[in-house]
Amino acid sequence: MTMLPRIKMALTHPYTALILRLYIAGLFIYAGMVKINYTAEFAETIASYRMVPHWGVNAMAVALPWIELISGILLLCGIRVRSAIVVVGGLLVMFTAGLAFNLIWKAPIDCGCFHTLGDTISWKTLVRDLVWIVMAVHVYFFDAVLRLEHKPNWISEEM
Amino acid sequence: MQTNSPPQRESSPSEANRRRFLRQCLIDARGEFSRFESPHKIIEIALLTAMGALGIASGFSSLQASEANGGHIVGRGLDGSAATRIAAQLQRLCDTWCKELEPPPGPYQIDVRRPSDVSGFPGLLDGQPIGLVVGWRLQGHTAGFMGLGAPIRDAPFLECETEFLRHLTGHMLEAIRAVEANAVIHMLKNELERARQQAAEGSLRNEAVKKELEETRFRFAGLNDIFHELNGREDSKQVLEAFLLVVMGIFSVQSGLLLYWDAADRSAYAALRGFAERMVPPSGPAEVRSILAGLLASQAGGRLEAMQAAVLPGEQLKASPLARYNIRTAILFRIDRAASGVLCLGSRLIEDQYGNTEKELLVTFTQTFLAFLKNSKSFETIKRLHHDQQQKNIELEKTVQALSESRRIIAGLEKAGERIKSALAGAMVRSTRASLLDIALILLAGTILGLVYNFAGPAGIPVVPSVWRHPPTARLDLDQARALMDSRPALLVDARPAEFYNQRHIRDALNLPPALFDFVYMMRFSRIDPQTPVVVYGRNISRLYDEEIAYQLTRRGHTNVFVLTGGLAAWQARGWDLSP
Repeated sequence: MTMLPRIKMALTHPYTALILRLYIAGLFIYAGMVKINYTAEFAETIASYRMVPHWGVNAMAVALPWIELISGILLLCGIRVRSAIVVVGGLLVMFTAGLAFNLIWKAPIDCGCFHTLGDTISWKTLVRDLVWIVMAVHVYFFDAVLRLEHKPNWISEEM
Repeated sequence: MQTNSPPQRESSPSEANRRRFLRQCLIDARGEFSRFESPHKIIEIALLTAMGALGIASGFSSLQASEANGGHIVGRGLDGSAATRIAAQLQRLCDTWCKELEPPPGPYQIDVRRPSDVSGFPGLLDGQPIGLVVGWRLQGHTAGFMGLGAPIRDAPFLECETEFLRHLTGHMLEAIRAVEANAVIHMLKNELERARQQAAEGSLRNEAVKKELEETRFRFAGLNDIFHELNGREDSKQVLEAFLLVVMGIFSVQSGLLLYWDAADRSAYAALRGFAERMVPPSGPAEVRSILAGLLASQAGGRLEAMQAAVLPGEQLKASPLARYNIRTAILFRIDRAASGVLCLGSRLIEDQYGNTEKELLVTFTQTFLAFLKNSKSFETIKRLHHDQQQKNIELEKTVQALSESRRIIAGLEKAGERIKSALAGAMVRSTRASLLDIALILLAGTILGLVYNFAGPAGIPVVPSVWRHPPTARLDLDQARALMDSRPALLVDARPAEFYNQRHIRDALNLPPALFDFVYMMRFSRIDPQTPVVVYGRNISRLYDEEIAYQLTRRGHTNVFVLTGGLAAWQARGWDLSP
């Protein structure tokens, strides 16, 4: 067996997807929990991106940390993984787009991804987000193990 | 009638005596004739009388009753062999001469002739000449003749003698007729006696037949009563009771007792009819069983086969507990090995004792009754089996209903299971792919939780933009703002965050971001006259910084606060001074 198929098999292996899923889950749980108690600061961060109308900034700052937390928990538990990873992927795309536009605009703003202050956006940040998007796509297509919603063997025997 | 009388001689005293003698002989002969009842004897007496009275040494007399019966000849003065020869010789003569005689107009006809006057008649008798022949014939076939030898006195027959022979023959024929009549009478009497005897025997036979018919009628009437009473009864006890009553009625019995025990179902029956009140039936099934066991253990009961009945001997009856009922006869019967009984009858109304006929009838009736009793038992068994079958059918029907109900429940459960299974399968399928519903639920749940936490928590922020709650600030376009700033001292405030201010701002504009409003205002704006006009700019899609700062300045007492319409972009479009 040559190296390429091995690499391909390793990359597409469900356990690889599981690792990525757990990583992203931990990432979003952490990010959500960090921002939950700093709603005002997170609202300013969102506003700094200049992507959301002024009437929706505060509401988004209120809801977005909880959405991140719920999605992370679902990914961690393996419940509705594909729906959760779609939500996570959508958030990442939205964040990445905001980053990209503000980098293009050269806006002097903080990332606000985990800490509300002191993390200025950069191309590195953009690349990091892109990597996370790739991880989310991998999880969407290859994740298949350790899902709580999968029926146990004894249930399938009974049915 | 021909009369060949001898020549007439004149009457003389000796002749008169002779006539008296002959008359006396006739009277004696008639008396003699009446003593005998045999025609043969009569013709013999007549022959002897004629020979004695007329002094004849030999003679014979013939009697021809009919051609079939043959004749009888008696001879006197002849030896035995001569009589036989004469008989053989004279038989032919008798046949011809007697037939020549005309049938008599009266009771009889007599013809007295000399032998020479009779054609073919022999003139000699055993070597002696025949003096006179007397032929006679009665009505019918009876005829005969008498031949007499010559008188001993060796003289021809006198007329009186010929007359005497005629009268003698007449008396003889009268006697023969009387004998024949007596014989007929006797025969008739015998026949009458025989007929009487036959009639008596017939009467006896009729009596016997009548008695037999009566017995048969009684038997059939009894059987008919039993059939009529027992037919259609399905309960064994009804059959037992009806049989007891009908037997008592048939034999006119005053009192009767019937005991019955069936070991198969341990049922007992005891019926007492016609006894005095002090007489009570056996106390219970145990006593009935004990009595019957004792009777069946006896000699008569031991020989009893199934469906048989037998008369219980009197000594056994007296020795049994049934003796206290004053029973005259008892019939022991057995249906099978388990069921048996005894029929006991007391005295009869018409006769006290039961004869053999009555006992045989009782046995016959009891055996007939056994057939009904067995049928009733069979019917009860069938009814019991039918009842059991019905119960089993009901239970089976309940079981079938329960099974149907269970099956329906199971079908429902299976259906529910299928639904759950399909729901789970659908859920599993849904879980393997992204669902708009799930996504919407995640977003909705996050929004709700965020709102609840925001309202309840200490770090809550207004969801609705605060500028919507503030009174609008007066606006100035670029020209008005330029004119204002040129005409009098005015402040130009950049409300954006410091990072944006540092990137580019209108020259001479002061930075006053909302986040640092209190601090910066206290440091740089607290000493400015509130009447000084202030023109504020700086907003983007996400934040209306100018409106916020204008509101805050108004709250601090500044009265001439304005918002620059178009902001930094419009200012830059005019090409006016910017910094840096």
